[in-house]
Amino acid sequence: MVLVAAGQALAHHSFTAEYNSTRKTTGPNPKSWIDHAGRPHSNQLRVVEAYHRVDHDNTELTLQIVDPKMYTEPWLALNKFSLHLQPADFDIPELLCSPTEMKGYNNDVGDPVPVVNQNY
Amino acid sequence: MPKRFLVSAVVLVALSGFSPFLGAQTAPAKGAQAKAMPPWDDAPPQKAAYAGITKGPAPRRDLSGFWNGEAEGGVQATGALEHPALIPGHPVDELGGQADEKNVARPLPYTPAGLAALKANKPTAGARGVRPGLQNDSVDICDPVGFPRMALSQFRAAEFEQTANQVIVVDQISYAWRVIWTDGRALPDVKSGAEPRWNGYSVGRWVDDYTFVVQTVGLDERSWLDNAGRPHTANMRVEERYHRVDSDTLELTLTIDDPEYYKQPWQALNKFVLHRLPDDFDMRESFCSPSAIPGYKKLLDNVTADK
Repeated sequence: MVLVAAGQALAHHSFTAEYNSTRKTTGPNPKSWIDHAGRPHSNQLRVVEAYHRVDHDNTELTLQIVDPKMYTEPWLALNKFSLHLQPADFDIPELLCSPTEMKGYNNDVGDPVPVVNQNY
Repeated sequence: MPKRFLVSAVVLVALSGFSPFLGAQTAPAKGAQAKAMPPWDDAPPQKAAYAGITKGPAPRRDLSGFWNGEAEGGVQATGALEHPALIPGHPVDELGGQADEKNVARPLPYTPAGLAALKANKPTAGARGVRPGLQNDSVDICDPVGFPRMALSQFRAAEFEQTANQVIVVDQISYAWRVIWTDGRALPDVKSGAEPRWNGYSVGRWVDDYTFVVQTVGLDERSWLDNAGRPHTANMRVEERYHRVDSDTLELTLTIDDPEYYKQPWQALNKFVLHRLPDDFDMRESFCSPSAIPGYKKLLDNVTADK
C-alpha cells in the first residue's frame, strides 16, 4: 500500500448524537511532521477528528493522535477547538508554496540560501 | 515530485517494455458492490474501459462527481492538445507552430510581445525543448502548476462539487482546488491592483440546462499555459465551456483570450472529452516534493541507463 502525505479519511455520523461527526485518517507519510514543533509520527498513525456542531455558527473540533510506535498512549492535539462559520460568500485567499517566491523571501527576510539553478 | 518529471518517467518506463499503469487499470463501476477494502490510490481507467458502456441521459445542471481526463489524451506532454508542439513526422517551425494532421499550418497568433515572452520560456518539452538542466520551467522546482496549465498539461482526474453558490474543482495532478462562484457576482477588475493568483478568480453560469460556462481572470503571469512554455499575461481571460453530453460524458472547450500576447482568442481544448468516474473513485495524492526530486532523478537516470 502506498503511503500518502495527507492519508485517507473515513467519516461517519453518529445516530445517537445527531450533531457529531467523526473522521478517521490512516496512512499518512511518515516524512511529515505532526506540527511545526517537529513532533513525529510513524506510518501507523491514526488520526481521529470529532466535529461537534454546537449551534448555527459554531463547530468544535477535537483531534486525537493514536500512534503506538511513537506515543505510549493516545493524546489530544486539539480539544474542542472552536471554528466559526464564515459568510457564504467568503473568499479563501490563495496560499500556495512557491520555491521561486521563497528565494525572494529569503533575500528580504531570511538568510540567503545557495541557488542551484540560475535559470529560475 | 515535478509533474513533468512524472510524464518523462512514464514515457521512459513505457518505452522500456512495461508499464506499471497497465496492471492498475480498472473498469468503471457498474453498480454498488461490496469491497474487501476501501479504494486507495485509484488510477483513472484508460479509453478501452469505456467502449460499449451504457450511457443514460445527462442530468440537468449537474457536473458533480469525479471525471477522467486521462482516457482521451489529457496528458499533453508536449503542449495543449489543440496546438501540440510536437507530432512525430510533422514539420515544426522554430516557435513550435506545427501543421495539423491534414498538413494545414496552425501557428498561434503571437503578438511581438507574445513572441518575445515565448522565446524567454525554455521548456524541456515540445519543438522548442531544451536539454534538461537548461530549462527555466519553475514547475520543475515545485512552483504551483496553476490554471489553465493544470488542464493543458496533465489532465488526469478531477472532482467537481456543487454548493449553493460555488462549483469547486479539485484537480489531481496539481492537487489544488479552484472555486468557481455561481452567485451572480462580477469578475474583479484585474487592473485595480488586486494580487494575481496561480489559479485565478473564476465565475460561472449555466447558459442552458447542460452547458456551464466559466470565465477566469486575475492569473499570475509567472505560470505557463502548457508544457511547451506558451506564455500569458496577467490580463488573460480564460473561458471554459463544459457541455454535459450524457450521464458518462462531459465536453470541455477552453479558450485563451490574451490580446497582449495573442492577436486573437484561440482554443487550447476543443470539445475535449471527460468520462465520469465511479462515485467511490479515490483520487491519487499528487504533491510536488522538493525532497523527492533527487530520488526521482536517480530513478530516471537508472531507466535511461537501462535503455
